[in-house]
Amino acid sequence: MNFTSKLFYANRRVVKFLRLMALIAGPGILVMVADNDAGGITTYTATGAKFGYGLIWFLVLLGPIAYFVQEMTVRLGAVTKRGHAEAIFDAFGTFWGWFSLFDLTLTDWLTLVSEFIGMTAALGIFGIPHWVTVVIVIVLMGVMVIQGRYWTWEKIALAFCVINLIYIPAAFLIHPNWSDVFRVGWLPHFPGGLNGIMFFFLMANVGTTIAPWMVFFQQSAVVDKNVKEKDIPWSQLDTGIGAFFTVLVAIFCIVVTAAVLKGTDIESAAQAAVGLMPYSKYAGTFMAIGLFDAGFLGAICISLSSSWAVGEVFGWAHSLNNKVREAPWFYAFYFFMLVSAGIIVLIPGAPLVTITLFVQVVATTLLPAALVFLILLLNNEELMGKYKNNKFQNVVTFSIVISLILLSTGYTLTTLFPNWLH
Amino acid sequence: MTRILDGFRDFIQAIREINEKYKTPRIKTTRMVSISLLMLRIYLLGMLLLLLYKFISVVTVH
Repeated sequence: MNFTSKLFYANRRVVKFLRLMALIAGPGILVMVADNDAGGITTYTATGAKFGYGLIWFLVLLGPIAYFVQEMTVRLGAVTKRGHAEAIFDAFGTFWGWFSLFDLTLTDWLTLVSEFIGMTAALGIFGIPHWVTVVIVIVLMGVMVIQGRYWTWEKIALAFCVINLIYIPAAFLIHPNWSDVFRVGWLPHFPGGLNGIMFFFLMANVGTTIAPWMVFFQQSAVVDKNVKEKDIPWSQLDTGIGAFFTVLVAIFCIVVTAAVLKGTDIESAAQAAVGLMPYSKYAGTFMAIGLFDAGFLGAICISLSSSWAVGEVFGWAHSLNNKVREAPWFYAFYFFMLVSAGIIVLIPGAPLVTITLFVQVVATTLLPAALVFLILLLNNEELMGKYKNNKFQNVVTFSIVISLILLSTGYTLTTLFPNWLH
Repeated sequence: MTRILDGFRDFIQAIREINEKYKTPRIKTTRMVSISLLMLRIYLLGMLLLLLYKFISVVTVH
């Protein structure tokens, strides 16, 4: 037996594990990495520029929070074979069903606009006109879905997740003081004290961790991928890996801006990319590419999240495994969301700042409902059987959901009434 | 025009069918479910009132 064969047989468990992982990995990694969307990247760059490495420890805490919430959608989707929108209609009736569906569609559309704002700003740095960016994005996303296979769509989307790691080389390019990163970043403290501005940034970072579309997206993706009950541990691992990468990208994003732009007020990630150029042209370029990729990943998941939800409720064929002629309404809705959001960004004088602020406000009206319904459904023995939440999971998820609701509501209130903090 | 009207009628019909299909909530109304739904209603009402207040204050300033 040659050396390669010996090595293969010696490591066949690892090979089998990796093969299975390659088959099952997808929704968890995708949803978590897409969580670092254009808005998320802007929040991280602004946090790094304001507080340096001081809040890295806080971002590390957000990983498990995202994991515990998203893991519940895996179990719910795999056991019920229903998306979150359909599950809400079925369990809680039409009032909560229509409320969730309408609010999700509105939130998703507004978030899509903010993703287009990020993408056009990112490619604008390279001199690409906004309309060209919008057309490129719509064509790329169109090609990804109309080929008629969930598997292909997912693997292309995962390739875009790899590009999201571009913040790691960007951080190394600007040569930060790594001993400072570890000394300051991992020590839980609040630089400058727990004042109003600090509280605002903490809430903004929490607000980017869990968005309503993530709950709806992952549950629908689990159903579309036909994840079975026996696959739940694999999907949980998939979600865990995704949570790790989302935190990793966020940390490196903070390191990039903290090392060079500390003390600057950053209003957008594109502004951070331009600000990095004089220090390192490549780091600035990587930041801009990362911002485009973040917006693109966000757009991929968000547009599908509402198309799946509407398809489920209206009873349309709504799988990415369907060809366009088999699921015309599903694809029509997908393109309607995408094209209309893209057009808004191109309208001269469109209230883009107001839209960006409004996203958070609308999302906060939906997030508590989506999370509370998730916990109630996960506690329903009739529905979940042996996969219902145990005591430990309930204690953890209840604490997380209550904290998320309080902090995201606080963030919205300070967005609406900024003077309350002073 | 007729096709648009037909499409609109079909859409209304589809909504009626959804309302009929999900008329009765299937979840068992335990104490936890009732309390949670009540809290959610109160929360949403509070958010709605705050948004209204913000809207009115913006409109009156301008």
